[in-house]
Amino acid sequence: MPPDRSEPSSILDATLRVPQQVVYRPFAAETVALNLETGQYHGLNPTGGRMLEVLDRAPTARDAAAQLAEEFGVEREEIERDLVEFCADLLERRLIEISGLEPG
Amino acid sequence: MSPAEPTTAGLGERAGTDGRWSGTAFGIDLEAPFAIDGLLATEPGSIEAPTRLELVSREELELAWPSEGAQRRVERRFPDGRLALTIDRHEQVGYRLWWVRAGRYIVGPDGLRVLCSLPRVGAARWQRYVVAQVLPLAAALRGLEVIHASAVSVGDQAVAFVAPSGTGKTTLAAHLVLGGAGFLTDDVLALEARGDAVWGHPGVGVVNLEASDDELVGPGKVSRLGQVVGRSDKAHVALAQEVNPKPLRAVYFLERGLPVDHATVERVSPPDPRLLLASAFLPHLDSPERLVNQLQVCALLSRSSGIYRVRAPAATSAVELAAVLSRHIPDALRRAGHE
Repeated sequence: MPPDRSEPSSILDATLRVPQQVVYRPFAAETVALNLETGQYHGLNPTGGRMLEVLDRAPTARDAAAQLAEEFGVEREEIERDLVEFCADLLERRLIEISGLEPG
Repeated sequence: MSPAEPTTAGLGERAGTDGRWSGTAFGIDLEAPFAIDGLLATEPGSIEAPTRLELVSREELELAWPSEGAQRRVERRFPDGRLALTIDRHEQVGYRLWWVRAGRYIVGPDGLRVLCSLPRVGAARWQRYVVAQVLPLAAALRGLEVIHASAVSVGDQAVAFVAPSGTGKTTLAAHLVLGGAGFLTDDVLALEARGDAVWGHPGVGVVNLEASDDELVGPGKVSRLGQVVGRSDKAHVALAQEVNPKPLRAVYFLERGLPVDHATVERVSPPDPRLLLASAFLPHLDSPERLVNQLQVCALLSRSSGIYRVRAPAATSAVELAAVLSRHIPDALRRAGHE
């Protein structure tokens, strides 16, 4: 069963990956992601670019939040809230996909 | 001779004794049964994996193109509705290009082979098409990124000028060459991401200038820039060209005809990715490989090169603009070297 995207814990326990048809590169002050299927470019600010990069490698979004909380020096709960919102946006734009769900 | 047969009129004088000519442009090596004006010649046999140009008849070229499975990517018409130019794409066979009175061409999907069915008109027109469209396409298919820009070299670095056609980027480059810059390319700049820089490759060493531009061209065969090798609505002038690629350290986007008092140069900081991505030449070439390469090159360019906007009123002459940029470029290159 696919995770309920409206449920924060559901996204946090998911493994999220940048799909094969999406590439992203860091520009001087933003990251640009390109969906090769649609030909659409999407701009992400430096924080968003770093979040995408960490999400793409972390076992789960929760692990990504832990790493980002340390990097940015903010509370993990705060990062988790931001990350859930960010992931929902990326999923909507099909810049990431759910490749697995950590057993709860 | 049937009109469909390939012609060698005006061709081959400078080809090697074995009838082959080899040269380089836009970052790719070339081998052809004819010389192409303005391209850097290389020693025959000294190059590996060149793009090979082959002369074929129109019938042979059409036979090589499948009757099904192609898509029209570009179509331009004259005001009276007649076709002027078409570009078709077939996934397995590549691109078929046609321009009225400039020949028909098939560029293979990997850019390594180009079939040429040339018209019986003089070489100037089809050569202009070959260097303006056919070879840049072959270069892009071979992994170079091509942008619509002229470029000069200053010392060991390259500087590019991006602007729409007909807005003076060639004339600007020519005036900078008169002022001591080296000449890299006229209308299309081939770029390659290498190490921590984007490198600009030499293009074509013949520029097309307004024949009435006495300062650059003049009435004779020899201008201050170089030899006048032909005249049509424009004067075609051969320049001494840079032989090697140079790291691109400054890109100027020219905007002319603006309601401003005088020409100004301002840094785009941070560089706008849209500005860089929109400067692509051959926008119809939108394969995943090209789009990924374009993104890669533009991203590196944004980090390794200064990006500037030049805003100028319509009345600004190329001489004035060249003077403004001649003062700005040394600072831009110094700054790029320290960042």
